[in-house]
This record gives sequence, C-alpha cells and structure tokens, in this order.
Amino acid sequence: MSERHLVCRVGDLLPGDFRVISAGSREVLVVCTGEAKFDAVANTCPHQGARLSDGRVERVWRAGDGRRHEGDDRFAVVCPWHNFEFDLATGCPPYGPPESCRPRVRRHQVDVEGGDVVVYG
Amino acid sequence: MAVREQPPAATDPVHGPVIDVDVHEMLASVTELAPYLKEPWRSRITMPDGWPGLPGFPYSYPQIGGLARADAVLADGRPAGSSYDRTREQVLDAYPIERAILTGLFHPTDLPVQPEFAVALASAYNDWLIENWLRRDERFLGSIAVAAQCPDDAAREIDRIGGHPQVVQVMLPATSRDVLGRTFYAPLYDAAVRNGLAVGFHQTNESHTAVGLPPYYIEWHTTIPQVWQSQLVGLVFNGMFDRFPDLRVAMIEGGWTWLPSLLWRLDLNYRSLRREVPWVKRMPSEYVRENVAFASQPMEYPDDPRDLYRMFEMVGTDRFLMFSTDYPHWDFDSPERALPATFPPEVRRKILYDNAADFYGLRP
Repeated sequence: MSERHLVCRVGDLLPGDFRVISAGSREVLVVCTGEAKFDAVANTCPHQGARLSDGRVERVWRAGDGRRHEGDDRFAVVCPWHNFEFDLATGCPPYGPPESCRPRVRRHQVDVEGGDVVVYG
Repeated sequence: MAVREQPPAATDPVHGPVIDVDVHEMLASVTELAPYLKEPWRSRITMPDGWPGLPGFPYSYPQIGGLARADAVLADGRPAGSSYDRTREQVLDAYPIERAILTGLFHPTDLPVQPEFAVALASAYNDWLIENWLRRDERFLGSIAVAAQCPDDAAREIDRIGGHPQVVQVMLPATSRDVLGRTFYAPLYDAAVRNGLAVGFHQTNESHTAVGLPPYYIEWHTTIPQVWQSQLVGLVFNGMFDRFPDLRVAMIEGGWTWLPSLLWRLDLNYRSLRREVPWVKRMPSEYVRENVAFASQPMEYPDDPRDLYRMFEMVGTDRFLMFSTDYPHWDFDSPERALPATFPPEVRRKILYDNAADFYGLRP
C-alpha cells in the first residue's frame, strides 16, 4: 500500500513552482500547475537518469499565429540533460498521439487534503 | 578487347511492370528553348556569345562516357539523354517500363541572377518538355521546372502546367545554397499540393557538399547525399508538412541507406529541441515515413547483401523506396539486377512498381 507524504500547504506554491520530496528511496517532483492544482512525477528522467528538478518547469511552448512562440495551458518539466520535455499531466512528451509516448516519466498520485498537498507513493 | 563478365543476376528477371522514377530528358542545347521564349528573353539565348547557360559543373568526368553511360553517348555529339529514340530503345523498350518519370536536369532555381529570366526559362522548358517528350510517348510522365527564387511565379507556372495529364511532379534542385523548406517558398508547395503534384529533389551543379566542392569528383559523388539530408530536415523543421499535410516529396538520386540514422537523429533532436520549432506537431520520422519517398538509384553494394535489406527494414516502412535507373547517366541501375535477392519478391514488386504507383497516384 502506498505511503502518504506531506509536501507543503496549498498556498506555498504558485503555478510553475515545485518541491522535491523523498518517498522511501525515491524522489518525487511535485509541481503546482494551476490554482490548487498539482502534478507529481518521479524525479528521475527515464532517458538517462538525470534529476528532473535540476532542469526547468515551464509552460509547454506552442506556435501561435505567425509562428510566435506562446505558452500553452500545460506545464512541462525539461530535463537538465538533453532537454527532453515531459508533460506533467501525462508523463509523456507534449507532442504526438498517446501511443507514441516515449519515454514516459512515472506519475504519482497527488491530492489536496485539508489544505495540505500530499503525495502517495 | 577483353570483356569482363558481369556477375550472375542477383535477382530473378523482372516479373511484371516497372515504374522508373528517374529518367533524364536533356536539351541538346539551350537554344532549343528559343521557340518557347518571348522577347526580351529569346534573343538572350540566341545571340552569338549570348547566355552561356545555367551554372556549369566544374569537375572533369573521370568516367569513360563522361556523365553518361558509355553506351548511351550519342555519336553526333549531342548530350546523352537528348534523343527520344535512344531513350526508348535503352530504357522504355529494354525493360517492361510501364511509366518513366522524366526529371530533366534543368533547374532555373540555380540561376543566381536575373530572376525574371529564370522564370521565363522555366516556362519555356516546360513547353519544350511537353512538345518534345510527353507528346511523343504516353509512357513518359513529366516534372515541371520552376524558378523557386520567385515562389509566386513558380506557383503560377505550376498552375499553368499542372493540369497536364502527364505531369506528376515539380522539380527542385537539392541545392546547398538555401533551405527550400523556408516559409518563403511555401507558395510553390501550396501550388504543387493544389495541383495534386509531388515535389522532387534532385542534385544539380549547385549541389555542394559540407566542405563545398572537394578536390575530386569521387569525393563529391560520395558525400553528396548531404544536400538531400539538409533539404529533408529543412522541410520537416520549417513546418512544410504541417502547413501542407498532403505534400508529397520525392528524394531522387540521393541514396536512402542513411535514412535509419537520420530518422533516429531527427527524432532524438525533436525530443530535445522541439521547443524551438513548436509548429512541428509530430515526430519528424512520422512525416518522412508518410510524406516522403526515395528513388533507389544509386543502389549501394555492400559485401553482404543481407545488410542492404536490413537497412531497408530499419526505415520502418516498405513503401518509401521507388525504383529508378537514372538513365542515361553512368551509374545507371538495371531493374533486373539492382535489387539483391535478399529483398523478398513481394518487396521487390513494391519497389519496382507499387510504391511509385501509389506515391504518384498512377493506379488505373
């Protein structure tokens, strides 16, 4: 049965902010992706094992009119090595159909309970 | 003279029809275009000491027939490929060629000056092609010449000629002077798609390698696939396939065994650097497998022919490769011998016919 881990209070993180917690022998990256909205993924890149928290959390870049870069509603973590992107909502690269999700970072259950952000894992 | 025997046939004799996607029809002289040009351009090419032609090739050919297959050289001094009768004898009637796609070797895109003249040359060439080649044999299919440096004029030319029932393709040079996937060139791709035509890339005199023009022709000929790779990467990352999902591109005479490596590299870099080009919505290899086909010649010749088929399998689709002879050029591939026996019969059939029939829409 997965263990409950307290991350922080809801108001401690703004969209784009993140915390890293230890869940047993593993690290989990917990990211605020909206108002009282959080996603959690393993803090290890499935490609070559870098710590994702050493990279950057940002809005997914998409192309607007005239090819201007504009931020998407989605948040991604960009790995410090090789710059692979992972959509925090899916664990997949933010492009292509779900069946082409490769590599995929493991997601963890994250909940808000009585104002606390908690991760199970 | 001692004649060295050719090795035994590597494949069964050809069973069924063949589509050859790279046959060069050649002008005997640029002055052949004069009847198809209006003034002020006509006199530019007819006057003594006038226009010398598109940029020339600086290498002297070490091959015994020059650029041509030695037995395709014409005794009267005209360039190989300028005789319909010889082409019919050595290609169309020599093999069960159902269709031969003429790819020319005349690229006004290569003219670095006088863009209006380049536009006029393209139109003249296309009229010459229709009258002197397409009308003479229904087995011929044609490729339109354009001046890509004037994309709107190129689109108008494609609209003018693209409805001809034997025209199947717009021809572009695999040039090293620019990335032809830039947005600037979009009007001509738009016109190609609008007219149901493929866009073909073939090397020209302006195809240089990563080090420019190396000292020897053998160096140039070995490394020249770099230009197709660069153009293909340019089309993908400049978003031309996103802009025109129905765009079909043929890479002609640039080889294909480099594809597995390039596809891996495209996808790896997309995973890392997509943020620079967010208009590219899918994995690059998907566009290549779905929208791009490759001519087979020059077929490489590994010590172990099983390796060639392994490379083919690694591309991830059996629909990408289309047979081509490159007639009349010196490195002509025979439809009876070019594919080793390691290619299963059903795959050989696809390469010799089905893939080109599907790509160019030639099914009855």
